[in-house]
Amino acid sequence: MNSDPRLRQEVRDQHEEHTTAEHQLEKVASREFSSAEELLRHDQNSVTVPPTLVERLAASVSAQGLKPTPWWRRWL
Amino acid sequence: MAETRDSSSPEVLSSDPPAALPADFAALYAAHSRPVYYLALRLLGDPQQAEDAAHDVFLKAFGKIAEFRGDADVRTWLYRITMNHCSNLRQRWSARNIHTSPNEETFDHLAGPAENPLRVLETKELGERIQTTLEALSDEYRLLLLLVADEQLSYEQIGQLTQQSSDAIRGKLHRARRAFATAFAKTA
Repeated sequence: MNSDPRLRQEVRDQHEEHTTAEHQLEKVASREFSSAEELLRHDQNSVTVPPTLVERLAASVSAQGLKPTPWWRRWL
Repeated sequence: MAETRDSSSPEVLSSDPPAALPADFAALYAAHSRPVYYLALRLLGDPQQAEDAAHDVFLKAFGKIAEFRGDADVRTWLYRITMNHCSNLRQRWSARNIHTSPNEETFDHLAGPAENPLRVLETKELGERIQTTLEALSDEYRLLLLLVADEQLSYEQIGQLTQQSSDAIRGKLHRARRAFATAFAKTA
């Protein structure tokens, strides 16, 4: 057992910091949703669109020689 | 969700416009790629299939981008393509496999849980729980909840997508929410 008061205080401070951090993590980790839609919105925000999607899309557009329809074609 | 839905708010980009795509189309992709991919993901339940579907949806949209110009219902249009594409895929799958679709009345008659079933721990399994829950619902409830979760869509637009009135949507939404909560509680 260490009798140095400064060291004991330091250990206490570290323990308190650790406990506070754990408590904050629990607060962040546990969440209550008021509706299915709110939960789904949260789910959507946590989903990452695969970066390969845009690469594949650009390759497909290029490979097929697709061009967007000119806006003025709507009026013809 | 608030009963009054503001569909006139400016669109928030899901991400920065990708430089690999033509400018107009890149902006459209940036604004809608996440919701389109998410809808496909939750309708199909498979990330790779969802990526393939989103690719096909945007490729189709690219050829008709002029129809989007100045059109306030871009999201609705993209969702319609996504819904049709995913529906076709699911039909092809069900032709090869036997799936049983749960009857929503099963959930209607269950007593509501005492505690809020939507209180969750945010773990990596949350997405799997949500997917399992959605697959336990009828196709109609699953689609309805996914569309209503998009705050950019008005009930009128959801009605156009699902071919029913706004009042019908409001009526079914209550039962869909309850079915979701009951099914979600079972995934804990």
